Amino acid sequence: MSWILAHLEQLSSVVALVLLAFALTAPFEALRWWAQDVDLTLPSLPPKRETPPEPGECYVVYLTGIGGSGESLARREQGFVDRVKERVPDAVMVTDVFPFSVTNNPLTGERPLAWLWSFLHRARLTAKSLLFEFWIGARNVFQVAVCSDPRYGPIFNLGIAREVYESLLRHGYDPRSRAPIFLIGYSGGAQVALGAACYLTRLRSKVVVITVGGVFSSIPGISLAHHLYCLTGSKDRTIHLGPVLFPGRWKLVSGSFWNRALRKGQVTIKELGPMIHSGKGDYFTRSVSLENGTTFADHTADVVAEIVKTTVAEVNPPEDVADSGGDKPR
Amino acid sequence: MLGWEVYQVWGDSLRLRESSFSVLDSPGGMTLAVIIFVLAAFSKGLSDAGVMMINRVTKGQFVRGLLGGTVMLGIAALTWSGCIWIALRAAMGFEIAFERLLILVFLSYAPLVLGVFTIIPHAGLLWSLILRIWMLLITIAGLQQHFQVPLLYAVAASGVGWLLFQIFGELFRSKIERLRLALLGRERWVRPKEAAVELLERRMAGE
Repeated sequence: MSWILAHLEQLSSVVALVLLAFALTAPFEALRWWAQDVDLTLPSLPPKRETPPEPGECYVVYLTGIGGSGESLARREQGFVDRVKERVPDAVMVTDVFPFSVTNNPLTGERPLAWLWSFLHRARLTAKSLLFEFWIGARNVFQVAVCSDPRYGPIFNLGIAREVYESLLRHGYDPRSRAPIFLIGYSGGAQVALGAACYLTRLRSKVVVITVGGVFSSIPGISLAHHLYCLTGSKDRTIHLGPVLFPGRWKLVSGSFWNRALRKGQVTIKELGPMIHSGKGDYFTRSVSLENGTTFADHTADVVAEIVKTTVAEVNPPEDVADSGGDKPR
Repeated sequence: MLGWEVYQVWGDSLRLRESSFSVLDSPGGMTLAVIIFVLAAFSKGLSDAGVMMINRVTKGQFVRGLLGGTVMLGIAALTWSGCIWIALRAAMGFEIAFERLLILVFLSYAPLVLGVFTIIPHAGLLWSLILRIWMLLITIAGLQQHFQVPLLYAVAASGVGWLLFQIFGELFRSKIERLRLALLGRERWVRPKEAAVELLERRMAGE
């Protein structure tokens, strides 16, 4: 400890230099992908189904936050996804897209520093120390910045949209159908969800974005999405970074996508309760409950499931309602 | 030795120190200012690596773009100097040798040596704005401290110079762009968003 204190200045310089290196190299994964004459060949369409899709069919894509390394979801996040599935059984849950890589390449996948990320990933699981968590978070934060940057964002978002689309096809999505797509982005994943929405909204399906403790900028995806639901916690301070860091979120910039969508009623901000951003007491915590006894995790899942069900009902109105046009009072 | 001298003048310019402007009268002043300017132009060129990659340029085209960018920035510096000189002379009656003013303008590009950091996503855009303001401040400080132009006049001359510079830029924008593209050996810039949508639509139409 005393050694660390004695060398604090040098250590801070090293940390700053590494962060600077992360920042400088951040756009190049997406740019390299684009510069190599990007292959936009998508898997061919699945054969037409013989049976019509279930009326309640929908696709829920979960994009993790900046703590993700792409290997698998954290247990609390997987628990949340499972809970939503329990409440909306017809929903197809998609969790295999790593939002911080245009090629869906996890940090521990085929990349030059995979050994380092593997080490940090393993170390944080065993040591449960912020020291290891920090580096993965820092790397991913700069990818969020790439996503929000008008110079690189369009390219990054195209890559992510392509990966989401491919994953949807793998999970049985038929682009000829109108089954709605829900992009749920947690924390920095919210920015990526909105980025992907910029392109996925070109599909026939309604694309709804749900952010959970989302930190995001004002990008076209906000206006293009059918609706944006921002789920927030009253004790979550991180969500305030978005409205501070990104000028498009400032009230002053009235013509921004965010402000225009707000005026049009395309955005719903819903406070879930006294949730914090991450850790015990966050949106996915089972051990802390609201006053009515519902755990935070259940409440978040309830609200998300309600949004999904309502939207699906809008797309596929129940037959008795759809056919009752003639009985309506004039 | 020269490297150290360049480093010192660069550092002093960034701090708007009066000592940095003494090179305006020294015999090797122009050389030092040009070296700083070329470093700035190269740094800016490197920061354009992202744009170049989006445009899928080859290595040869990238080097050509880097050299071309330096020449273009040189022309911009000359125009900028001319604009300030006209503003000072015609509107305010200050007699300043154009060559010395040119050295000052070259020195004002000192912050752009850090221009490579504009490549940083998101924060780079703010950094770019900071650098431009910093450059303007060096010009104003040089006019005030070295040429004894009163502060308000210095601000006004830089302001009018900036206005003239923008007008020139607007008048010749298409020609400048054509020249930049010719240096790169390309017909048009790739605009990432449009290109991405175009590719996607082509892909969808093909299905």
